[in-house]
Amino acid sequence: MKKQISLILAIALLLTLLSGCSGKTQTAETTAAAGTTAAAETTAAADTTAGTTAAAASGEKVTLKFTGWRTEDQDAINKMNEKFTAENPNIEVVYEPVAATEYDTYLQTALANGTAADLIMMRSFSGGKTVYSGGKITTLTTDSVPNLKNYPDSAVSAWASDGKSFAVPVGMTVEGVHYNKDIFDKCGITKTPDTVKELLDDCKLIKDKGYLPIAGGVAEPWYVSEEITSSILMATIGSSQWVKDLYAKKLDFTDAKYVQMLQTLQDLEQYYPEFYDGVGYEDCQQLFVTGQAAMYMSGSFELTYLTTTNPDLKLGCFAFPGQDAAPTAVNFTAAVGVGGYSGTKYPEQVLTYLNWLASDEGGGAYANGVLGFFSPNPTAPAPESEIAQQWSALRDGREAIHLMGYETMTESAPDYSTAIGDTALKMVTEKWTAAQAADYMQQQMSWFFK
Amino acid sequence: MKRSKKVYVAFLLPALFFYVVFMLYPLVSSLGLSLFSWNGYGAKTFVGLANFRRLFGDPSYSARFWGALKNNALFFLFTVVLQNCIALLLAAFLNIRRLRGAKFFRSVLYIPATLSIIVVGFLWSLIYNPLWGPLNHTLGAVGLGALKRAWLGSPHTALLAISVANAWQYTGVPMIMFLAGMQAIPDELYEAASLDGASGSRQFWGITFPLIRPVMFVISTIVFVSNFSAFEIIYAMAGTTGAPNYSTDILGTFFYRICFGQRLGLQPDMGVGAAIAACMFLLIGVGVFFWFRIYGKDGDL
Repeated sequence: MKKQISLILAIALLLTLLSGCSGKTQTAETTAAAGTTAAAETTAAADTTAGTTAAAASGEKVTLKFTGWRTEDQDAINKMNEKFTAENPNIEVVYEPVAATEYDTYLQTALANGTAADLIMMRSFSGGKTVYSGGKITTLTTDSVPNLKNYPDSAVSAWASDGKSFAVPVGMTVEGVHYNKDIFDKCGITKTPDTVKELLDDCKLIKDKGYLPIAGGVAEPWYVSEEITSSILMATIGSSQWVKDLYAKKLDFTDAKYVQMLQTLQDLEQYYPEFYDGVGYEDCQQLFVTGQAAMYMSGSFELTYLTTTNPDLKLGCFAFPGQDAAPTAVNFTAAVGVGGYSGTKYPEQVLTYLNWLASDEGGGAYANGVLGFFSPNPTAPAPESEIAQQWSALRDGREAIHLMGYETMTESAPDYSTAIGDTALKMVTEKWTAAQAADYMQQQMSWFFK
Repeated sequence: MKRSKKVYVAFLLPALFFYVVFMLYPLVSSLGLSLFSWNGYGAKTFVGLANFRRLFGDPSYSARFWGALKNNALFFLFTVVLQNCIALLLAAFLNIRRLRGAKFFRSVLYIPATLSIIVVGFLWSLIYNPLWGPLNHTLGAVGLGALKRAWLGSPHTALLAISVANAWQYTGVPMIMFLAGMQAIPDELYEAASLDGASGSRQFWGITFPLIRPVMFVISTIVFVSNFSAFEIIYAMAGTTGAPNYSTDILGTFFYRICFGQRLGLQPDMGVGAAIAACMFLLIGVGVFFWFRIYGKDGDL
């Protein structure tokens, strides 16, 4: 009797363990969708901007999940989604961001096991192409998303792989220098610098007056690559021809212009906070937003954070100065695109939303809500915020060159971003000259030139 | 009395099931993945030993591999000195007869081990922050301002700084194990030694130390395995780039970086990542095997 009871208990234990591993869990949407009864179509206005197919709105309320890495823009995107739902009452969009450092890993696992959101924020160029290569992102065409025609080719191709679009271009950012107008006034600086020499003179003046000139640090490679060195480089080279020559391997990182960029970086470092070799991105952000630093090299994407964290901060901006004359080029990033998950249960609603984002109205809503992200759609209305307009205007009369390390130089280790971050830090710890640092950079990236 | 074998098997099955599904299968499939090329999204292509050739043949990869291995060895050395030696000392103190507050200190010293690694890493990186961290502030306040530096930013001090945080967290564990080993030593030995006129420290090195050899053996094995497969503390304090200048790059972070890529930068390469993981497995396995051969003979496990 005892033997049988033991055996039964053991098997029962095994069974309870097995039952714990159930199959794919039902999502809330499917149960909700199944539960609602199909109501008759009443006077729900057909949205001309969306250009939907009739099948989409049949009275069934649908909730689309939207994931992205911009946790800072949660409120702004929620407001934008409310605007969308006002026009498309049967589609609700819920934005659930994931921290930027974990987003890529999250996407990989979610796409692999079929639990991805319906709308997916996509990075441009290689970042997005890699995700698209898995075949789980819907290919977009001008048939399925008619408003794609609004964008210039340069914008569409940033989110395309071999001519196939995988995301609607939604947000571009401009990189440059944020500055604190109060500190500039107190130091008697009336004009923002146009040349590197003027910038260094201003920094010296600010330091002598007892303020921290620049919130900067070389501890985090991506910050060094994207916000500091890329801005300096674009202003130094003045036109995209240099970048094209670099990618065509006609010149390399030992070129005089690249050395000049590193030299400028070194010249600026004396105006960074103490121990800047250990100062990272968030430290710089904190220094600037609390009003302790006069300048902060970053991008327009910071505007939401800066304006909401410290509304009293008087913000200004200027393009990073050119070497000998006013800069003729600025750094920009094809930052945010939105794509659709191919395994979504609501493909038509996803396309409706994407088409709305690509419309003038959607583009304008995004740019207006998510400060600092400009719509690549040239006919979309400009943002109302003055500071956002100032950032957008940094591109006027200048060539906008895309950030380094996105379009290429990511296929092998080290990628461009890691290599320049490593180089900048080594330049400090080894006390190298700019030329030595350029040699090291070239050595790190030699795999690209083979 | 004969027992039916079926009952034993039935009780073993759940544990065996978990072991196979969650440990054996992933291990074998990871080792298999090292023979493929995969970016995590698309299809897998069989490439044979190409990943290993790339790992050891391509200078940008092999330099990182040997550098990471060196850092692991350094990390292990720091941990043995900072964590295990201090744990032994603390255990020796706590073992003193009728020590007041022994129970209190035992608990307090063990509490850090119960904290989340990410929280510990984050808190310590705030302590080390060169701009507003308490460490630099305290050094300045007591007149040691010359020692101020970017602890996690300088390649010379970053790994040591992280080792200190790691040792702080885990000193309690070997301490408790040493203490248990020490308390298992019969009192008669100490009484006999006292009668013979042996001093406290002579008693320690002559009696305590040799008799806790089995415990030391177990602890060294655990520390070796956990240090060479470490990841979380480095991830929490320095990220996966091995910044600054790859001085905090260990095999775990090297593997993660290659396998999952980095934001906006390096594209994921799961095949080479799996090759790194396979090398880690081999390294730790061989290391433990030899450790057991050399020292396992006289100790009783």
